Amino acid sequence: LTGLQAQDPDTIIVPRAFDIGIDISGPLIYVIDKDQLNAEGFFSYRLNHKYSIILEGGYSNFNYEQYNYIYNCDGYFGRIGTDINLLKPKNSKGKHYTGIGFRYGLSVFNQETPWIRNDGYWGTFESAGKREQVNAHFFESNFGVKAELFKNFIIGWSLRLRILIYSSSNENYKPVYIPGFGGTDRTLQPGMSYFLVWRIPFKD
Amino acid sequence: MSKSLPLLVLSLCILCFWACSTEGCDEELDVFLRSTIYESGTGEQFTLDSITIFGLNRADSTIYLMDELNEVNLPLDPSGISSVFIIQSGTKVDTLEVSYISYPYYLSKSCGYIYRFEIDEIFYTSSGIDTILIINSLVNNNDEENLRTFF
Repeated sequence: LTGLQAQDPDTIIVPRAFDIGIDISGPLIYVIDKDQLNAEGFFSYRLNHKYSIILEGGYSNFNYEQYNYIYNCDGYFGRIGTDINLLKPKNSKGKHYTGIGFRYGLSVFNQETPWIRNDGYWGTFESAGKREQVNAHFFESNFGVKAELFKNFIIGWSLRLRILIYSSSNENYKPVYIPGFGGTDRTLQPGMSYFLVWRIPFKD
Repeated sequence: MSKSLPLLVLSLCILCFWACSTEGCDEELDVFLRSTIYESGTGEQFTLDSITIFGLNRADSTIYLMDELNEVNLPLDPSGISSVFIIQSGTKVDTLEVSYISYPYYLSKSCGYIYRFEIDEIFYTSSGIDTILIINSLVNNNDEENLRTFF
């Protein structure tokens, strides 16, 4: 058994492990939509069969345009938290994961609204919002599945729900999009990730 | 795992529907300076007979040309610091100038921006108008009364 030591038939010891992963959903979406680039990855340290500490980070570039405004933003984000494996050790075998996770996220990015158009009684008026640096803080909970496909190579996905707790933006120029968080139109912002993970087991 | 499969599929369906559903703009984009009309003698709200309102130098484009009116919604010019309106009621003609600060305000991704106005001062002639009171200086996309005009 890879990454697993059986001391007796009823005892399963799951060794600590270090995971490095990338989220391939961002590049895949970018192939379809060149206005939305999200590149992110994570480091994970497995403490035991149940708990892992996760550090995620990435970069986003988002551009949006419609008939009455243009919006651009780009910046970096990080998330830190934990994953909790709900599978029993005999089912996970130290390789598989079905569980929930919690994160705190920080996003630091620049945004601008280079074009705003207003049509009315007095005619057409065009203006712009200045480029400004914004930081935003959010919480996330997720549900995910990971499975070992080959030795120490894991694939998985997760469904995420995020809630914004603070944004430093100007009251009149609230962000349309926050890197690492997503769109801001909903109170709870859903998201999905698809991971490719390389596992480095520790020799305890 | 097999027990939780239906839950997973349901979660995915809900998430996809939630994330992929298209949304149109369902918020009010028009911003008007709203004034109710009162009779100066009684202090009661009343209806003006035969009223015409247009912007200064915009006589070709009337905002109101009506027989009866008890509330007016006036569009302000976001490109300037004031808007001037000509108000004709019967044979009496008045001028109303509203000075303000305007600024864009983000509503939502699908709606974009509106222009809000903070009323600074108002100036008016008193041919037919007796008094105008500023009730709420923030001109927004809601139905709140900004001015109270007494004739």
